[in-house]
Amino acid sequence: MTETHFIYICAAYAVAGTVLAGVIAQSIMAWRKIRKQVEKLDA
Amino acid sequence: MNAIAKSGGVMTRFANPGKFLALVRWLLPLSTVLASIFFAIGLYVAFFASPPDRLQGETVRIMYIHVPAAWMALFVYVTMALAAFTGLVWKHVLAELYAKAIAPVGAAFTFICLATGSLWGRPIWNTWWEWDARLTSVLVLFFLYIGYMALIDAFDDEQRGINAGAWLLMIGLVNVPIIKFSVDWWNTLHQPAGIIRLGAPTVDSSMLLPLLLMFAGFKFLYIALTCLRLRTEIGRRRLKAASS
Repeated sequence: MTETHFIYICAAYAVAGTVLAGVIAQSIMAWRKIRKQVEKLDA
Repeated sequence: MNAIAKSGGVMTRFANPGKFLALVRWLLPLSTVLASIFFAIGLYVAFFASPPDRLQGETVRIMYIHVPAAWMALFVYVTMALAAFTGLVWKHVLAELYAKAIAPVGAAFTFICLATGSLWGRPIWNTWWEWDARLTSVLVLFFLYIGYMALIDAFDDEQRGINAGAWLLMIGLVNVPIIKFSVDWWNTLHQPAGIIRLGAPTVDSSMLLPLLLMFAGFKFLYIALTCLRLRTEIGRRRLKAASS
């Protein structure tokens, strides 16, 4: 594997991983933000 | 008549947020575990057990993230447009909330597709970007996602925003066949379809396996995120109703 190709492969997986991690984190945080209020509503 | 009544019964059953929340209780952990397993195996096979391409060399490994992201970008958009139609016609609460909840996920898949495609294009085509039919139509898809999210938040009345967004999603559906067949209709730099086509896949099985494993990972991640985000939207709507 040439060094240049290695950089492009790493960059592609890093971008994808960062974006997916961001979406997952945002989804979890949004739920955690309202979770207690929803549970209070159910109680 | 009977079929219409039956479909109405199914619609009503799935319109019940309580039943959906009961489904989320087991579907969310299951899909999270399955996504982790498929991503772990998929990444291992993609990096260590699949051969380099005859022409592209090691760079072909970008395909294992680029192609599943592209498939998911299209799939999510089609499901959003169908949900928007269902919401408009049957006033289906979950369908309306689904499109709103999942739009950022679809936009993320489209962004991954565009960014990894650009990083793949640089060493292979010697350019980061080309205004050819496939690339441009996928960029339009990304703008449709962004436009939808901006539009639904542009109204003071949430329901009016959701309805306006539903029309945008349905009109934008015309872009989906353009993306799919752009490589057949126009002379593009992008390669023609190698897997989802009328004939047998042109991709070798040693490369098809990691591609399908990664696709399964993306699919289960999408199911987990749908459960998580839709549950949040239902919660938000309940809190809003309780406070008003």
